[in-house]
Order: sequence, then structure tokens, then C-alpha cells
Amino acid sequence: MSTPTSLRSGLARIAGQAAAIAGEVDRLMGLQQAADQAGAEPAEEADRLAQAMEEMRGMSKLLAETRAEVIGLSPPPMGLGDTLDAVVGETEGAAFEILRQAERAQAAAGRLHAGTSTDTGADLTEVDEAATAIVLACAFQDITGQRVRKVLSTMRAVEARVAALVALMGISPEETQAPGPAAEAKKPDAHLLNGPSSAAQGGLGQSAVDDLFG
Amino acid sequence: MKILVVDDYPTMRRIVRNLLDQIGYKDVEEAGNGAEALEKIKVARYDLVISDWNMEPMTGLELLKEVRGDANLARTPFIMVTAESKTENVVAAKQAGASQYIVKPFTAETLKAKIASVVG
Repeated sequence: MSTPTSLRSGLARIAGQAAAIAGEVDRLMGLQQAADQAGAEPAEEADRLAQAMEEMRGMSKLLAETRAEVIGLSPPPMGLGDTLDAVVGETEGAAFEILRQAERAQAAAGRLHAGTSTDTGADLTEVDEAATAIVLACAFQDITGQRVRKVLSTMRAVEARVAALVALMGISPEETQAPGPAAEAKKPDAHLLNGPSSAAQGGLGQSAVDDLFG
Repeated sequence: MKILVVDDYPTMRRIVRNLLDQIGYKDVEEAGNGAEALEKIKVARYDLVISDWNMEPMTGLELLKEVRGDANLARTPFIMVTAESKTENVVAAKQAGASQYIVKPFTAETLKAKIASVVG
């Protein structure tokens, strides 16, 4: 998740303006107090100015805190999208390698079964080497696992920051229920595109599907 | 028998092609999405379509409806192979005219049995 630069600079500008207004109120308060000491103005005016200054200080503090939370949402050096793209690439590469080696073993085993092998020893070695290559290709899980854990860690941190920001802005849970992506909503079967579902999420096994198909 | 395998993941197309080869079906072609598949189906005759559901720009369900809506293609056996496994998915596919429905991940035996049930 990235934070738009325009949002950050906008918040910074608003916080700066609020601080400037508070400073101006401070200055006016000083003038007011000086006038009070000279016995020229009633205390009621000074109370109103003090109240306004307090509100300005509150606004300035809120904006400064909001700005800090938004800055905390800045993406890490290697973006989450890039990391997940790398995981997709690595898993696809490993799957292709495993398939390639399996097909190599199947071909050699096929020759041995059919009795068409011209070199039995070489074909047996072919099956053995392919099996070893498949074992090695499975090492992708270690690398991708580390990448996914890193993404999860960052996502949890972003989640906490967003929750803090939502609380800070006084946004209710109802307001955070955003509609789904417009592009998907245009597809006639968009409501049926949920991806893989576990049994707890309502996903059916093959036998239950067969029962429905009759 | 000529089979068209439709899936946006090359890995899955290769897995299905490998399984089909093991079962004994050698005449297999591939398409990366529903729109690409529809173009192929309209040009060449296929005895069976094995299609994923969730693809862009045309989904497997949209492809199925196009096939069933075309008098020249309507009788083509169509097996949906997908990770979409909720009741509403299965019902929608059946209503659209799917011949069989296989949930991913699946076994070679399931694929073999479903093909046998739709092509005899």
C-alpha cells in the first residue's frame, strides 16, 4: 500500500497553516493581555480568544498526528507488489522445472515399460536424475516462504497504521465499507469470482460437486 | 479426439496436457482465456473443451454461454475445471450448460472419469 505524495504534502501544508493561525492567535492574545493590563478591554473578549487559540492548538496537534501516521504508511524500499511478483515468478519457474523433469522421467520410464529402451542403464539414470532435480526445484518454497513472511509482516504494520489513522480521524466502521473494484463489477459473473474457498468458507469438495451435478 | 484446454496459467495448461497425454489423448490445443478459445472454437472443431473459469478478458462461464448460444457449437462437451467451488458457482455452471465440473486441485482419476462421462 502506498501513500499518495499529494496527500502527505497536503496534510503537511494544512498542519503548517493551522500552526500559523495558532501563532497569530497567540500574538493577538499578547496584545489583548497588554490591553487588559492597561484596563482598556473587558475580560470576555480575552476568553473568546483563549478558546479560539485552544481549538487551533487542538487542530494543529490532530493534523501533526495524522501526518505522522500517513508518513508511516510509506512503502518499504522493495514494494509489496514487487515482492509478490517475485513470488509468482519463482513459483511459476519452479512449477515449470518440476513439470519438465517429470516429463523427462515419464519419457524414460515409458521407454523402459515398452521395452523400446536402447540403453536401459542410461534411462534408469535419467529417471534418477529427474527425481533429484525435482527435489532440488522444491527449494523454491524456502525462498518464496521468506518473501511471503516479509510481505505479511509489512501488511500487519500497515494494517495497524491504517487502524490508528481511522481511529484518529474518528471514522466509523460503517464508513470504511468501500464498494468493490469498479472493473470487476462490470463482469456479468463478477459476483461468482471468489477464488479458492476452504470448506469453512463454503467451498465444496469434488463429491459434493458431483452430487449437485447429479 | 481433439481437445481444447483453456486456462490463463501456462503451468495449469501444461499439467492438464500432461495428464491428457497419460490418459491417451495426444491431440490437444491450448488457449489463454475465453476470448482466445472462442476464436479457435469458431475456426476448428473440438470434441471437448476443458476450461478454467476465472480469466480475463472473457471468463470460462462467459465462454460456456457463448458456446451454448451458438447452434453450431452448442453440443460440444464442456468441462469446467476451476478453484471456484461454492454452491452458487456449481449451480451457475450447470444452468449455463456445463457438461461436468471439476474442482481444483484435482486428481488424474477425476479428470479421466469426467472425460469418460461426457465423451463416452
